[in-house]
Amino acid sequence: MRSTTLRLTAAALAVTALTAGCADRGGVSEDTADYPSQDITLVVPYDAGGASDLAARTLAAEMEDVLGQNIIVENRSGGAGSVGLQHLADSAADGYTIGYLPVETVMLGHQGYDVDPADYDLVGQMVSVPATIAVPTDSPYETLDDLVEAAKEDPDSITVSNSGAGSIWEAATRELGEATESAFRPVPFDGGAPAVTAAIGGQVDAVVAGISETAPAHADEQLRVLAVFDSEPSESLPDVETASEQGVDVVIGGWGGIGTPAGVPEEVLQKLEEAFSTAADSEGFQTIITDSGNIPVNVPAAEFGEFVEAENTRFEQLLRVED
Amino acid sequence: MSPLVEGFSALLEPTVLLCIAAGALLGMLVGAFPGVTATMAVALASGFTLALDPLPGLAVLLTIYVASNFGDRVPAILVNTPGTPASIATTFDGYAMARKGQAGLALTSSAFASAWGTLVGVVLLMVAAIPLSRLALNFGPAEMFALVVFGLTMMIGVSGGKVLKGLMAGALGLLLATVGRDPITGTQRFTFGIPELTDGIPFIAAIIGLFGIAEVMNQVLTHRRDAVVKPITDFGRWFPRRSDWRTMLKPLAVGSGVGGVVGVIPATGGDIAGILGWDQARRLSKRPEEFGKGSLEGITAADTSSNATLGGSVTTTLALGLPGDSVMAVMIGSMVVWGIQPGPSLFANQPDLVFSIAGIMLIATVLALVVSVLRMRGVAKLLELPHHFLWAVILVFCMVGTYAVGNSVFDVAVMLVFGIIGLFLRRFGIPPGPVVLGLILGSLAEGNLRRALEIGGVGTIVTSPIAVGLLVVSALALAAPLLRAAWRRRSAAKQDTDATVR
Amino acid sequence: MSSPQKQPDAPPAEEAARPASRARELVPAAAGVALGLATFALALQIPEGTRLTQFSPRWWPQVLSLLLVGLSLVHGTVSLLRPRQADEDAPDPSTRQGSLRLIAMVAAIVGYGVLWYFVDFRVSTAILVAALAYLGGGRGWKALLAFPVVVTAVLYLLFGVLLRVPL
Repeated sequence: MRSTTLRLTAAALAVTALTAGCADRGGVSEDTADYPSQDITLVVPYDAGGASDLAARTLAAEMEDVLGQNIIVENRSGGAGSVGLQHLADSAADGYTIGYLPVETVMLGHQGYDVDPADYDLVGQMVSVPATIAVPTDSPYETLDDLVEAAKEDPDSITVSNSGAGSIWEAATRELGEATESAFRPVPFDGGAPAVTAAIGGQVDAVVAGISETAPAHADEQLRVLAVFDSEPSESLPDVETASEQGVDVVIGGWGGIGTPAGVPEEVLQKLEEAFSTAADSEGFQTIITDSGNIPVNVPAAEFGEFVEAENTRFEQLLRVED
Repeated sequence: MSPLVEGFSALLEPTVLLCIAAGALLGMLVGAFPGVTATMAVALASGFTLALDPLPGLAVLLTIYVASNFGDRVPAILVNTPGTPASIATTFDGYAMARKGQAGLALTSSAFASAWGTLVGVVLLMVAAIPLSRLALNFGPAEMFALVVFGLTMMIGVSGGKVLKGLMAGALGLLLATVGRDPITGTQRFTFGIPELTDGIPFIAAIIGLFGIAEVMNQVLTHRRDAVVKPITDFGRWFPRRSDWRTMLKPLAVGSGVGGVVGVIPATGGDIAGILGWDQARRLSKRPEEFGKGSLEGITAADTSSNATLGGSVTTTLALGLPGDSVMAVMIGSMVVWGIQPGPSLFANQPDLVFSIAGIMLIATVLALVVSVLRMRGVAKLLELPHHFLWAVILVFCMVGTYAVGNSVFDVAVMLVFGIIGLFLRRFGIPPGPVVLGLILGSLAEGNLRRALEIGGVGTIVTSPIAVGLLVVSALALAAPLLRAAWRRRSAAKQDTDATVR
Repeated sequence: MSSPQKQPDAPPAEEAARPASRARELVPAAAGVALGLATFALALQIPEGTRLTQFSPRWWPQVLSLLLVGLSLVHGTVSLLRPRQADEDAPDPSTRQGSLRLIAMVAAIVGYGVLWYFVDFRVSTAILVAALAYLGGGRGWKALLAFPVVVTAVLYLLFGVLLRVPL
C-alpha cells in the first residue's frame, strides 16, 4: 500500500519535473543573433511602488514592444539597494538579466557596501531627478542667498531635512555647504515625504528633496522652492531659478538608467541600446515620467558612461568625509 | 451639496462598479494571504490601472486598500497569523475566541467592527479633511517622540498580566529594532556584514514568524497521536446577539476615536492604531481581565481602530499631498500620472473628486462586509482540514507570501528564525505582544528623539505643548494602575492582615 | 526521519515535557542577561560617527541592553524569592514524537531552500508540501499527491501568473 503510493508520487513528481524543466531554465547558449529569444528579467533594487519602480516598469513595457519579448520586472529590495545591485552584478552576462541603476550605484561603494559601477555594462540613462531646496512659505529666507548667508553667520544652525542618512539628498545638502563655504545641519528623516512634511510644518528651516516631491507643494504654496540644482530651469518650476543662475555652481540630483552585468556580448548590448533609445523616446514613457514630476532623458551608453564615472569620483570625495 | 451629488453619481457607471467588484475580490485575497501586503498588491495593480481612466483606476486601487483590511482579519482569527500588520491586534482576542469555539462570532463581529471603523474614517474625510490635515502638520519629531512614548506605555497592557516578562519582551523588541542603519548618522549597527540587515529586520517576516509559524511549531511540538487535536469545528453562533451588540458599543466608540486620530498622523497606520485601540478599550473596560483571552470587546476595539485609520490616511494624502501610509505613497504616484495632484488645492478645484473617492471607499466597505459575512463559512471550513494539511498549508503559504514581497530568501529565513524565537517565548510563558510593539515603535522612538535633539536640543521637546501633553498623559497612564493597586492593597490590608503578594 | 508507526500510541515519553515552574522563570532570565550583555559588548564596536551629533549611534542600544539585563535580573531574583505558585497557563507538554517531527519539518524547509536553487519552483514546492504532509501524519494519495499538486497550483497561479512574481 505504502510503496504504491510512494511509487505513484515519484512518478508524478518526475512528470511534473520534466514538463516544468522544459518550460523554464532553458539556459542554453545560443547564437547572439537570435537575441532575444526568451523572457528578459529587469531587476529593480527597490520595492514595488516607488518612483524608481514606476520608471523601470514604464520603460520595460515600451522595450517589450521593441524587443518582442516579455520583460519581467523583479523587485529585489534591501540594503539601501545594494542587495538588488549585487544580484544584478552576479547574474549571467547574457543580456537576459538587465537592471535599473539608480544614483546609489555610485554612492553605495563609498558607504561600505560591496557595489562598484565597474561591475555593469551601461545601456543608457532615462530619468533625471534634480535636487531642490525649499523653505516653508512663511520663512524669512526669500532667496538661496538669504539662506546661505544665515548658514554662514551661524554655522550648523540652519536645519535642513532630507529623506534619510546617506541619501543623495543628504549628500546634496553637504555639497551645497561645501560649495558656499557654509555649514548646514542635515536632519535625516525616514523617507522623502516626512522630510517634506517637516518643512511644511515648520519643524526645520529647509528641506532638500527631489523636484517631484517639492514642486507640488510649491504649486500649492505650502513650500517655497529657492533653487533647482540643475543645469537648466525646470518646466515644472518655471518661476524658480537654478542654483547656478543665483551664483552657486552646484548641479546634483538623483538619476536612473539601465545596465547589465559586465561582459555582455557586444551584439546583444547594441540591441538593448537600440531598444532602450526607442523606448526612452516613446511618448508613453515621456508622458508618464513628466507627469510624475521628474525629467525623462535619453542619454546613450557612451555619454552615460562618462557621466557615471564623473559621478563616481564626485561621491568618492563627497562621502569620504563621513568615514 | 452639488459636488457631493456629482461625485457620487460619477460612480454609477458600470465600469466603475465592475472595477470596485474586482478590487474587492483581489483585496480580500491578498489581505488574507500572510506576507502579501496591500502596498504590494496596490503597487502591482497600478501597473495595469494606469491604462484605465482615473475613476475606474482609483476604484480598483482604493477598493484593494479597503478590502485587504477585511481579508487580513481572517488568518489572524483562524490561524493566529496576521494577514497584514494591521491585524496584529486582532490575533490577541480573535484567535483566543476561535479556540474557545467562537470563530463564527469572531469573524462576523470583526467584519462589522472593521466596516464601522472604515465608515467613521471616511466620514471624517468628508467633513473635516482640511482642519485635520492641519493637525497632522503639527506632528514633528518632538511630538512623534512623545506619541511613541505613550505607545510604549502599552507594553504593560499587552503583557497579559506578566508585567516583568512583558517588559523583558518589550526590551527585546526595542533592541531588535536597533538592527540596521543608525537613523541619524547612517552607521551600521548589528548588521554583521549582511547587506539585507542594513534596512533593519524585515518587519512583516518577523511578525508572521512570531505569531503564525510559532503557533504551528507549538502545535507540532505538543501534538499527541492518541489525543484528538481540537480542530476548530465548532464555530459557535455566527451573528452577534443583542447582548453582544451592547458589549460592542463601547469598544466601537473607543476604537473609532483612537483610529481616527492615529490615521491622520503621518507615518502611523493600522498596526499601531489596532494595538492602541485595543489597549485603550482594555483600560476603559469593566472586564479588562478578559482582554487577550477571547474578549469580544477586545477584537471589536482592535478592528474598529485599525480600520478607522484608512479614512485618516486618505485625508492626509488628499489634503496635504503627502502620503498617510505606504499604500497611499504608491497611490499618489498613480494619481499624479492621472493628472490628479493631491494637495490643498484639490479640495478647492475638484471637490467632486474627493467625494467620488469617499464614495468608492463607502461602496468598497459595504461590499467587503457583505463578502465577509457571506463567504466566511466557506473560509472557516479551512479549519476543518486535518491538522497535517493545515500545518503544511500555513507553513508553505507563509513562506511563499513572505518571499514574494521582496523576492528574498533572506526574509523567509528571518520568518523561520522568528518562528523559533516565538516558540521559545511561548514555551517559557513570555508574551509576544510586547516584542512586536517594541519592533514597531523602537526605530520611531529613537529616530524621532534624536531628530528632535538635532533640530534644537531638549528645547524642541519641552517647548511643544502637544509633546509635553502626551508625555504627561503617558506618565499618568503608567502611574494610574500602580496607584490604584496600592490603594486597593491598602484597603485590603485594613480588612485583614493577610497581605496578598501578586 | 523516524517512522511514527513504531511509536506506541500509549503514553508518549515526556522528557522534554512541562519545564518545572522555576525553570520556566529562570531560563528566560538567564537568556535575557546573556543577550543583554552580548548586545552591550557588540554595541561597543559600533563605530562612532565623525559628524557631531547629540547622541552617538551606540547610546540607544546600550541603554536598551542595560535595561534588558536589569529587568532580567529583577525577574530572576523575584522568581527565586517568591514561593512557587501554580502556573495557570503553562503550555501543553511537548511530546518526544512532536519534537522529532518539528526538527524534521524545519530540516525539510531548509532542504527546500536549497532545492529551490536547483529545481523549478513548482517541483520543489510540491515535494515540500508532500514532505510536510507526510511528517504531519498524512498518508495516502490524497495527502501525498493531490494535496501538494493543488497547493502548488494555487500558489503558482496566484503569484507566478496573477502577480507576476518571478518564482
